[in-house]
Amino acid sequence: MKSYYLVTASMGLCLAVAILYLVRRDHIYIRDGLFWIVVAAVSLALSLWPGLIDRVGSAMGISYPPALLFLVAIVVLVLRSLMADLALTQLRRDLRRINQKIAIVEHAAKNPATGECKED
Amino acid sequence: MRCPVWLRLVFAPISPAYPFWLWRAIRRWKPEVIHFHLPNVSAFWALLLPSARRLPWVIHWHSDVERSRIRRALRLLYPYYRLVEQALLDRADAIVVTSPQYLAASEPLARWREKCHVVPLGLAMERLPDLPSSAGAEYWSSAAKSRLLAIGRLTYYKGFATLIRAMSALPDAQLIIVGEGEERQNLERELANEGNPGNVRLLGAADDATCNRLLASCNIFCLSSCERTEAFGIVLLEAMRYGKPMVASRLPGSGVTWVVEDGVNGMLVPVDDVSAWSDALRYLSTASQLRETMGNNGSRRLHRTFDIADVSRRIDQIYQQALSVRADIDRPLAMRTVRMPVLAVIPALDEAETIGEVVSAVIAGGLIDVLVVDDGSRDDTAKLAAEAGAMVLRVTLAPQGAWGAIQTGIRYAISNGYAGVVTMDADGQHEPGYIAQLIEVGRSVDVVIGAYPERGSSVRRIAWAWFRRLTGFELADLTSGFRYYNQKACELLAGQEATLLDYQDIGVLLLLRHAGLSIAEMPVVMGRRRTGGSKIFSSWWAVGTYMLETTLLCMARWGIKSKAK
Repeated sequence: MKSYYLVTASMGLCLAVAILYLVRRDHIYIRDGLFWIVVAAVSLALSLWPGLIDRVGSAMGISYPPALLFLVAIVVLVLRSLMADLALTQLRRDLRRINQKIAIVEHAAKNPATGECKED
Repeated sequence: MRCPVWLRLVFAPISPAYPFWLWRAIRRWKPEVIHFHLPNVSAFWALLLPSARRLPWVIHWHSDVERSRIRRALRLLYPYYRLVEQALLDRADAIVVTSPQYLAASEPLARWREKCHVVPLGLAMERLPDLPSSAGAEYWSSAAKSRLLAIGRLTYYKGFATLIRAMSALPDAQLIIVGEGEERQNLERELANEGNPGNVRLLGAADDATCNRLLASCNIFCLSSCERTEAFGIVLLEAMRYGKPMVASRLPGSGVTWVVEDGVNGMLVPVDDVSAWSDALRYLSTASQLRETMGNNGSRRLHRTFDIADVSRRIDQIYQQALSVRADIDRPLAMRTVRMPVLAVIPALDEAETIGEVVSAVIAGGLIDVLVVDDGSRDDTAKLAAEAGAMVLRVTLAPQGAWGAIQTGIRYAISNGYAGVVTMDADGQHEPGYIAQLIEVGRSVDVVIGAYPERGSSVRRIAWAWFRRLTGFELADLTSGFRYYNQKACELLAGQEATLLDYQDIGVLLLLRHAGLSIAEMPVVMGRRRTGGSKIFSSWWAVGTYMLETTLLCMARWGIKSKAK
């Protein structure tokens, strides 16, 4: 029991510290950082009080409480990765459009007589 | 000068027979221009009538449809009304508005300012005979020192109640209100509240002759309307005809404030301000010299600005302008003197071998400008294209793919005022000789595809058949890159929604169809690719990915079907 407690506690702590460090150093955009800080807080709480998951599990009538942990973790990760793909798509689109715009503007800059951009 | 026949559509209530009537009128009279008077619900039928659509339209915008004015049951329909109304305005060649003030304040017209012309309503002077000021003396009480006249249907927006209240401060003056309407009872109640003063008289309806005599014999004409529904106030012109000074409401966004120039031919008073009305009327009642001056100014302004002869001359000019613009558009391509405002867009990636030849061939055709979009070539593509006379855009940051490069060209075309785009491959398989024909066909549809189904290998044929089944397109050559897009199509394809398409084929067609644009095919003969093979149909792996991706794209737009010609 004791060693199990130590392992989870140190893992949760490491994750929390690492996330906070990355947010502080601006390696994670603050809007995404919020999500990760919540993850850090939850993992910290679960590592300090591993009994928490048993209590929540039994309260929900789940016979094997750790399964709840896995389920929640998987759902959160899948949602997260979906949202990451959404954001990535938007970024790709924006990048392409910016790229196009640059090509147009560069052409206009080189040929001031012909090219004049009046709108997007 | 020839004498064209104009078809004037006056107000008609909603009637199912209207389109038939319109169709017959067009056939019988063969008008050259259709002139709509709006608001008029039936005018919308014209949008559906091909013979009406072929003619230039001039729209006479008498007033906005004020949301507050329509009944509750109709208010639900208003958004749809707006949609059709805007479609009508979009289609119109010219819009006539009756005053600059009304135009500036009109929300439905905001998008169409460029084709709006201000032409006031006009008065046919001979319709109103010269009359001495003693003409209508029998209507006025002899005790009245000042004769005030108001004419209009007794309805809420005319603001007669304000006028009646203002009269209580003017015992020496007499007010006659000519007109009948649903507000009568309220006005009578208003009069009873004031103790039925002898100096206000509701005359009821009167014929033109009576009105004219009253106009000739009054001292001051009043227009107390309290809403922009009073868009112009043609009755003011009649008052000016008899040289009368006017007092009118300072209605924001109404032509009234244009017809009546404060301090010149009349006075403007804040809307519904009873004490201001009394003050203005009292002041003007005592200042006979000023009344005379204002009356003369009004008479002069009437002849200068609101004479029906001038007005109809200006309307004629608008007709002629609409006709001549149309005539130029309808002229066959070969006869046009102006260069087509169409841009040929050629995406190119490492096409140094052929690009020069392709560009020169298109330019030799002499019809359109050529833009080569270089998607990061490492060879001399850009240089050779420029030497051959093309404009060259270089995409430098990251490769765009063929469609991304074409979209760059389309965006360039829009921002530089081109009315359409022809897309071609850089490898020389598309024959520039067909460009004129492609554009010609594009005058009746939004998108034209140069189709050459014979070029297909068996794999390609299977792919086409599969995608035709999936999408319901009846096009023979779904993947041809030799296309014409008109301005509407270009604007759609320049948008965000189209940016992440990877190929200029089915995804683009689905997008166009979804937006309700019409697509047509035109058979062409394509040459052999001079270099390399198709980028899509090169390896089994590439074909597989392409098929899967495009299938997914088709599925994602499942159920969105419409007719493609």
